[in-house]
Amino acid sequence: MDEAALIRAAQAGDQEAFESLVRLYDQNVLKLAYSLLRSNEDAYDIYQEAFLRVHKNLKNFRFDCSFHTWLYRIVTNLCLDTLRKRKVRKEEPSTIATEDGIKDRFDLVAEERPTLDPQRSLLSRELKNKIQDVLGTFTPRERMVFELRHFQGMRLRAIGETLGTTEEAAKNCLFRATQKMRSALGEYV
Amino acid sequence: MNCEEIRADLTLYCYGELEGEAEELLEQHLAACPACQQELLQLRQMLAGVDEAQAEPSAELLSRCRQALHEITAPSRAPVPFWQSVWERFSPPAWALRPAAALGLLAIGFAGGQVYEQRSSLSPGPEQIARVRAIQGLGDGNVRIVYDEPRVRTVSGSLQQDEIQTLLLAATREANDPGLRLESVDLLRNRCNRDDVRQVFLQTLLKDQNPAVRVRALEALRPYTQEDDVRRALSAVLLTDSSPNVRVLAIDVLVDRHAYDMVGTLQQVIRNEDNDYVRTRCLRALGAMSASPGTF
Repeated sequence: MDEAALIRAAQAGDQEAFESLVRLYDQNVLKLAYSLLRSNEDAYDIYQEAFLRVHKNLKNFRFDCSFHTWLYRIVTNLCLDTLRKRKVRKEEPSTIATEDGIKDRFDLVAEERPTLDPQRSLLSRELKNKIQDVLGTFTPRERMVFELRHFQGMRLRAIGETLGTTEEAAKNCLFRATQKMRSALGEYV
Repeated sequence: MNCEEIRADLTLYCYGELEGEAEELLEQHLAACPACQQELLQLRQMLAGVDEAQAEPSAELLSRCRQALHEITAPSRAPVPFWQSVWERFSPPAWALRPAAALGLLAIGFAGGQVYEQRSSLSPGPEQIARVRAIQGLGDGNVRIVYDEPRVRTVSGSLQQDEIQTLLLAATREANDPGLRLESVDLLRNRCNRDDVRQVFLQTLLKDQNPAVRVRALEALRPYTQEDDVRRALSAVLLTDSSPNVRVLAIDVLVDRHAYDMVGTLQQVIRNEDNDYVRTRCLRALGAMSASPGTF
């Protein structure tokens, strides 16, 4: 069954079709939410909220845009809201409270990995931390455009459509984001 | 266009977002400007570095999300324990034996250590089951189900140990997290003299979805470019790899080794390559080997 047929079947109440439709997109949706928010709990919440909204409103979907665009509008709005709330609360998503005090999430991940070349591993971790720091300096919108273009492979035109802006504005966001990254990582590349 | 204008467009160029004419102008400039070529290379290296820093959600998280969504959206049905739903579906005497394959994957697709054992009775929750292998009616109203149970194991040991090497090879082939695949390739890179390691690296070079992992596999294979299988893989990379960075590295490797028998492939790349920078590197490589860029 192709996507349009799945959507129509799901609109008619076919639960299996709805779940098949979800499975076409849910890995990328979860990946986007997790990559942006770096938190299992937040990514889980975005996933649930986004697909519940789809479930609730699917009957009103009239094929005016692609299902991908419609879904990503929901997901990106939810993620942007969370990112903006974090900015307001000055949350630092790259750190986490542990029994041994505050630690960087990447340090915790890296400790579980095999490391036989301490120098290379240190550099690699340093670079990852640095990249995380730079991503943290992006505005929520720059972060979103960068994420959608770099990791999700969406075209800038589609990104503009999803975020309710122009392709040109998405281009400018991507340019600003990579410039920030380039000037911050100059010593590493 | 001057260098400053070109550099403003390099980001869009890297992402393939430059319009036709602008792209052509930029490529013309790049072909004649080593400084901008260098800038482009650094930008690509940076973007490949960003790939490495990507965080991916675990398979367990995806499974938990799907399960929760299903429980909420499935029409007015309380979640039924897995064994009960199987019982309802296959209640006797309608069946005697059914193959497990019909049920397929049920919960999380965990690839780690799995233990199969017989138990006389059990009441597993859905989250404990990776795959049901067989279902058999016992004729007395009971049913026997054989299923895989995912278990997390931790192993420590030296790189010399077979078990460690086998696990690293498995991680190179199968880990979902590109960071883990990258780490595994790095740890095994000095063991390319082993045939099984080299074969896995060749597959990684040809099939891994992450360009940074492919680059690492290619670097590890660099000392073995005199081997036929490595040369065939390099040739395939030059002609089909989607990442210009990987293609350029493949050219560098061939130039280092003065691979004269690859001249034909390089000429083919020049004919087919869309990326002007890669074409320029090919031309230089052919020049270094005193070979003609075209076939006559």
